[in-house]
Amino acid sequence: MSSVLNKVNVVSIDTSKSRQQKPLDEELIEQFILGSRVAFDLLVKRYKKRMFGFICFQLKGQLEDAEDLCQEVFIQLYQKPDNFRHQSTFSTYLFSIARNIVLNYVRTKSRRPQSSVDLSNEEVLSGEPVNDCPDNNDMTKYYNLALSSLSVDERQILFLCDKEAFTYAQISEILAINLGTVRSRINTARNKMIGQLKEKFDEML
Amino acid sequence: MKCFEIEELLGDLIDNELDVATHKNCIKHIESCPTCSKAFNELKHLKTLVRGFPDSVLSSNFDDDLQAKVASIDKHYFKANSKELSPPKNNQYQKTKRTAPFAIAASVVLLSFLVIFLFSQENHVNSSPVIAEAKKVEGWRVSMGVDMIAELSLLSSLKEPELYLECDELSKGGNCTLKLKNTSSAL
Repeated sequence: MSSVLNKVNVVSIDTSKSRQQKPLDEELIEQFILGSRVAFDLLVKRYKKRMFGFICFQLKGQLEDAEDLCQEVFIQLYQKPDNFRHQSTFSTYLFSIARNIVLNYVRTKSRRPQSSVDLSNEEVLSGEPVNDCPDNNDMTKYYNLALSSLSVDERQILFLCDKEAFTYAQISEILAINLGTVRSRINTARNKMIGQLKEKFDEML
Repeated sequence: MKCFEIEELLGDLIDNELDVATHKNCIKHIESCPTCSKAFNELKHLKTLVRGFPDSVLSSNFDDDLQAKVASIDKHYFKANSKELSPPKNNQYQKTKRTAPFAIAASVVLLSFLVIFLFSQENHVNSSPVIAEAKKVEGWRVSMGVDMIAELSLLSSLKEPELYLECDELSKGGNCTLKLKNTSSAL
């Protein structure tokens, strides 16, 4: 079977071009739809850290679950690559998959009280306990506490806007909300953060 | 611009969502207003904090786990198709994927009528009506060159041999063959 797999899956990517410049995401997904596993692996390599960061940020550092969900993003891409219809950029499409997966996860967890997502824990969003964080200082601690006060929706929009630097229009596509909601939600999240930080660590700002 | 207007636009200003003229006006106001300047700096500081937040680190076996899951999907696909073929991912496949269910449904209906007709002719002498039904639609499988297989059972008391219907490349105007179960011989 492996020999068959190798024959079918390894469709060559235009190497002359890839030597000159990296292939666009949209080119890679097209190659993958045509059967190239190499293209899929490149997309995974390109996006796995960003996806993981996005999911971790929302789940407040539940590493194992975040990794599973991150893999689920790529599994969905593998199973239904043709769902990407070039109506948006590939990155916004992939982030929207991640957003939906996290949403389902949070909903499922909330139906099971014993294993519910703990919104009040003090673990840092990178998944490590506060004490094990490499940048463990008061600022990091208060910063994490302030982030803990945000809802999943507010954390995800803060990450997309400030960490990923998506535009409001792109965020609107990823979260499937209108621009006005993007503005109000990002402002609410920031005001909450600033309020918390002022309260906990006033001299920081 | 007034302070309350600036306050409304601070988020857009920080995120570069304003047009050039409004952006300039905001900056001009902020430079001359300590209150708005403080609010602006707070937002700017927060944005820097979030941007600089350390990246989460994936475990070393993330790739292996993902590859294993992908391989499992492939294996399941091949098992379902009984042949070692890669998932077909080309335009023809996508096109067929959309049209095949309709073609299959139409074929099942037409061929059910055909079977009823044929067996009613055969059993005309005995004057015993024979009814056939599509017992099981197994699925369509483009990669095998087989679009649809439907098993047909005769609901007569004579327990006629079961039949199945095999359709090839319906999307390309292919044809269907009525075959005897177990023997695979065409009728």
